[in-house]
Amino acid sequence: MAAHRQLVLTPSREDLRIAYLAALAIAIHVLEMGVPTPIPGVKPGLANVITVAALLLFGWRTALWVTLLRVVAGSLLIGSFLSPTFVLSLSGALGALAALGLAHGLLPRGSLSALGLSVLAALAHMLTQFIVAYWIFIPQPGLFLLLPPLMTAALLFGGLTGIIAQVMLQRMASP
Amino acid sequence: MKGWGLTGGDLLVLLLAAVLVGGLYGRYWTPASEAGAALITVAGQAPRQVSLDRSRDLQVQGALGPSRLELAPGRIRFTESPCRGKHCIHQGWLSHGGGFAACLPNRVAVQLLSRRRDLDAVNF
Repeated sequence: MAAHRQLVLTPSREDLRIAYLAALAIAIHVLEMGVPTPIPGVKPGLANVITVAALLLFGWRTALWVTLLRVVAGSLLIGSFLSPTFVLSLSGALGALAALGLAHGLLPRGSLSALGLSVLAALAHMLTQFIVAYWIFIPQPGLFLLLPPLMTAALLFGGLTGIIAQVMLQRMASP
Repeated sequence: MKGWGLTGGDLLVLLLAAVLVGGLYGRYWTPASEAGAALITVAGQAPRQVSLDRSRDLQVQGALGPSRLELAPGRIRFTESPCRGKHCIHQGWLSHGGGFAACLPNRVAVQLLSRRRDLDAVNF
């Protein structure tokens, strides 16, 4: 008989922070799935508020963890894990994170506020999703007719989530 | 901009984003360009593609006799036909991608090719 062994994992402060932020993002993500949208495939992406806030408050690594956890755990809750929806969701998230990483890493700190970052992330998210959808699922040139309205929606919702993130961060900074 | 906490970089991102979206509308939502070519099929022969880049007349030898076609930039029509009904001539100009006119007695068919096909078929 093997001796009874106990494995103790001590979460660091950063682990806990990432878990809290990811839980918040997952809750927003799942709640948003319940809100009907007039156009399929277009949703505000309010969970992006958490990604942008995490980026500005704690850096890109935290934003990356929080977002990937949200995509994976969110899809498990919704039941879309490893489905085409999940693939699109993941690719969009990776595209947005890449854009955020570039903007955050290359530009001087403070040159973009939450609004600019959010718009950038939303556009990158939509564009990456669109390219993946075109290459993997619907390789049909007619799909490009959808690109302008989709990018318009990304711009508008990116601005909206950016304003929310901006207001949230300002309230947090001035108690 | 004080109060909102907007930076110059934000405004630049918004401006570039607006230009990008506007450019996408310009690229993908402009009306289909004029038809570039037509496909002419004469009985017993392989279909032949003609370019519609300039105005000219074209004569093809059908089963009954010669059919004359008038070609113009982006459109094509039958002008003379040895058939009795002259339906092909009455069809008039074909100007939409996918548009089709045929002279069955003379066994000549014309289809407009377009970079974007607006119509699968045209019926009268």
